[in-house]
Amino acid sequence: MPDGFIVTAIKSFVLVNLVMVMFAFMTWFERRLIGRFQVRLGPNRVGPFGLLQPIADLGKLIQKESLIPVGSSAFLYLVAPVISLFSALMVFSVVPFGGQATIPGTDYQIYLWIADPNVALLLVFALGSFSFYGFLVGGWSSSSKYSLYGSMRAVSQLVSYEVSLALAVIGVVMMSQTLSLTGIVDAQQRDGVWYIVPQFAGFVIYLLASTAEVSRIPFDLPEAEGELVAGYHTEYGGMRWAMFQNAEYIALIAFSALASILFLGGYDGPVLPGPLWMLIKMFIFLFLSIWVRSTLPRVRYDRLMTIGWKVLLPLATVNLLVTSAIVAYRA
Amino acid sequence: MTYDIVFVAASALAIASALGVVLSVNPFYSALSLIMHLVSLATMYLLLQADFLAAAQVIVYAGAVMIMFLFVIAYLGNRADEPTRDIPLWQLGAAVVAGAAVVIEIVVAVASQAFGPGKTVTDQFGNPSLVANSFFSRYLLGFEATSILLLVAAVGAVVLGSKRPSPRVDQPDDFPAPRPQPELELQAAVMGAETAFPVHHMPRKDEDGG
Amino acid sequence: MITLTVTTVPVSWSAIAPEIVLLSCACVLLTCAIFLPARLAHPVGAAVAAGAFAAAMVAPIAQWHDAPRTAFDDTLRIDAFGNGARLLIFAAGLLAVVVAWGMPHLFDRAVEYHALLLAAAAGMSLLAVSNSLVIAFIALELFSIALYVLVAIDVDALPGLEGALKYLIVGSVGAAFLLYGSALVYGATGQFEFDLIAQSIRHGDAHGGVLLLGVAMIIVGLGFKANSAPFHMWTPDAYEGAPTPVTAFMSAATKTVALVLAFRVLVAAFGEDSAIWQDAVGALAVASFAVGNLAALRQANVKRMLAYSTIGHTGFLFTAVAVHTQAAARAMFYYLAIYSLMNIGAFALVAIRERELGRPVLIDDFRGYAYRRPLLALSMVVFMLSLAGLPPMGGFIAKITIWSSAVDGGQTYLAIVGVAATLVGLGYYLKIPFALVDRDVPIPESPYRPAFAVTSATVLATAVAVMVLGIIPGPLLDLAQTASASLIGR
Repeated sequence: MPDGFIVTAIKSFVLVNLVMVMFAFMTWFERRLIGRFQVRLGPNRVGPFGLLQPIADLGKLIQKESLIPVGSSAFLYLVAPVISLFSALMVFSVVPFGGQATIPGTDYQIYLWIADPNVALLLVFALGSFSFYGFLVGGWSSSSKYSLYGSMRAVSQLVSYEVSLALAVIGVVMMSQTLSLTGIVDAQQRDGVWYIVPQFAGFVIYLLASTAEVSRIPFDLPEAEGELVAGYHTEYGGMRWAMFQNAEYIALIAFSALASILFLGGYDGPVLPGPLWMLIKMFIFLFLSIWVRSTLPRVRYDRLMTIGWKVLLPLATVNLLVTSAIVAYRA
Repeated sequence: MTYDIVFVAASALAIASALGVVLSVNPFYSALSLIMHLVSLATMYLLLQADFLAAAQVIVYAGAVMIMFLFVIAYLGNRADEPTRDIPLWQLGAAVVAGAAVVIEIVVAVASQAFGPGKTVTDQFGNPSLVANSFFSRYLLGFEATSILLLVAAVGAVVLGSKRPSPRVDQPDDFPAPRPQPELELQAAVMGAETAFPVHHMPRKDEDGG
Repeated sequence: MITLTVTTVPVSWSAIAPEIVLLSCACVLLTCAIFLPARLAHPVGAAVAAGAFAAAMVAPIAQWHDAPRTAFDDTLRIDAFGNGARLLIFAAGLLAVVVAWGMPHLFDRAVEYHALLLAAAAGMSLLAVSNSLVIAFIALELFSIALYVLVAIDVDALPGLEGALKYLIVGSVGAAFLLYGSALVYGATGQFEFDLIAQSIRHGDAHGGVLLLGVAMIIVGLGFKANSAPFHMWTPDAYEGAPTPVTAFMSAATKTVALVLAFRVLVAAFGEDSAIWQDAVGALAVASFAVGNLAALRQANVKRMLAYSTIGHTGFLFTAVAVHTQAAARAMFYYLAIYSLMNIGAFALVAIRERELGRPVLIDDFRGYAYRRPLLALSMVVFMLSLAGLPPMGGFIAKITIWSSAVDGGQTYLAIVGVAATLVGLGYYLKIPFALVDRDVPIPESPYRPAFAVTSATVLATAVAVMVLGIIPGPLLDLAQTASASLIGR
């Protein structure tokens, strides 16, 4: 906590709310954009361009009755969405939105990140692995077969793709020789190139694997509504269901932030201030995700496993070998 | 002060969740308690400034090992087993006596001698390069042997899990020993009885004469 | 830019040459299995495995007379003690390959069988020379996992699965004990390497109570692996359920490596504190004598009887550990060599009979066998007499040397219990020789099968070896002397 306890608490408060606003905006943006892709209007009634639609949704969801299914483990059922949301939000505690900045009008310097541990990237993965438990516990405690199937699928999919994801990221770590996220941004400035260029294979693997990690189309089998009703959150309603959705979108935003930092130089960019660059880069990835969602069909489950284990994993391993050879050669 | 509070809280949580592992009737809750336990241990690593060890602990145990535990438990279904149901009373009594003996032994053995001053850890404790260094120097052989161990375990899992290949008939030494298969013999007997059914006694269509 | 400096240890290839040979052959075998036509799987697997075992023997033989040296930053200690154990393990592996030749239900898994056998032997070989609790634990798990799978390799056979499951669960408990013990010893002394632990204890740096608990748990963990009572529960089921070649390998090699580790860790690390463990090991020996021999009396299944008899033999071997003099080490080595030979021979014979009958072999199945296969029956008599410890077989000399070392080492009570156990042992070992020559049983009309040339030759060769080594024990005792002198100098 380089800024002291009080400032860090304020920063955390601001950041959490910022992320929540981004989530709300994302739901509106996604629905509008998919509407456009599919040649229809999308929500446009509440507020200008339908911008207040998320608020209306919130009002609706809060009013819903709180149900606990018969035969479920009540405690676990209630705590599961909290685990998911918590672990997704926690990732942002190590995501840097800029270097040091001066608060306008004063000469008070603050850091534009909450914490910068030297193993930030590992912490991101540790927290990511925690989000599995939200799905698994939620699906199991609902005592419904669709929930259980959904959570089984979710976990096997996440575990499979996490391997490739980690291997893809290690290529970047090897080039930057640090696990700190600000360190990785600095290393890209030092090397004079964003790592999307030398680590293009790693970037593609990261993009695919992270799509699977957040269970977005075309890898949204855990909640494939055609076969599983709604997957692990079948039995959830109201705000608890919203928390699962919330967690999923925040994980998507977190992965976009991570992609910007690892491959696009993070808050590094000309003219505009750092945080704005960061938001622009995140926006690119979010747009890409929505575009893919409205375009591609869902893959079959065995294909999903084949892609994960027989395509991405060997590819990531080869990428890692080549990268390590180059790094060793240069050193 | 803050460290003391966190330490006490993490220790209390570690002990409570360890008890939860043992005392939970439902294996799912046991596994969840184990995860809590591992996370509280990771907190202790954090208190020692060993970020890397803490993250590795969570990734390896909570992220990989325990998720598989839960996976299997969830697959096996929501069965709460009652471990004390079928055990005879004398075994329970013997277990209690033996357990108490071990506890007393531990208390006596540990309390018999005071612990020396604790070791101070360096700033470098548990940071990635130090861990990597010990992997590539002192524990090089152990590190490599572990990878072989995992490979053997994976091969073993495939051997046990895969379907048996179709029986071979092209063996040069073709005296396949008969193997005891009581179910199949029973089935054969039943089927033999059916084929021995007097077929010629059955009325035939052309004998009816219209 | 962070510069990483890594101080690597010099890699001593000669120290781990056998493991490298075995594991690379296992990997090559598994890779080639993809391309091998089905009918070649067993011949190629057997040839590669036999070649690997033979090649692995080169390094220990070449290093036999070298002075003991440490490798890999003191985590390995290459001495004649470990190399001798390695040779015994590789010989057992070679015999397991030969015995498996002609086992019909291993055909489907021939490649996996041989690859796992090689991996298990590699783990045991590493364990035999390990000088660190870390390496010891990893090597122990390596061979244990390979053995768990080998026991259940015939996945259609329920007894095998049952045996493997019991072995897995009980073996894991044993491994956990060993691990806790190692952790406590590390906590007490701050060291993993055996000689450094001894040094720390000598300097009085160690916390006595924690060390005591650690040693106790290590002994319990070793007791599980050495199938000593009261940690023997898995032994009969695993030995009975496993395919017989696996049982033969397990009984010989696992016992060898467990005892060698027990001797090494207790003498090298806690040798000066022998008062704290000597009586515990002695108690385990007495319990093994009692449980093994008394339970074996009531067995009808030959494999099960032999399984209980191995528990009884652990009593003799633990006697040597409790005595822990150089003479005891020499006696233990001689005992292990003879024991491996006669046990593998006996199990090979059971495998032959099993194949003739197509079902598990009972003692009654040997009735009148002497009139059908006299040579094999004669070999069985040799094995049983040797296991019982009657002259002029190797087992007799083995027991005598153990007893004499026990008396010299001041553990006379163990020698006395051992004599009593031997007398009880006669009660079940001699059942088989008597059954063999039983004239009253009509010879059952079973279809004639060709002789199992390779396995039968193995049986005969081991029988001859057991007898010759009993009549002329000198050379083997000299080798055992070299091995024991490399570990302790008394």
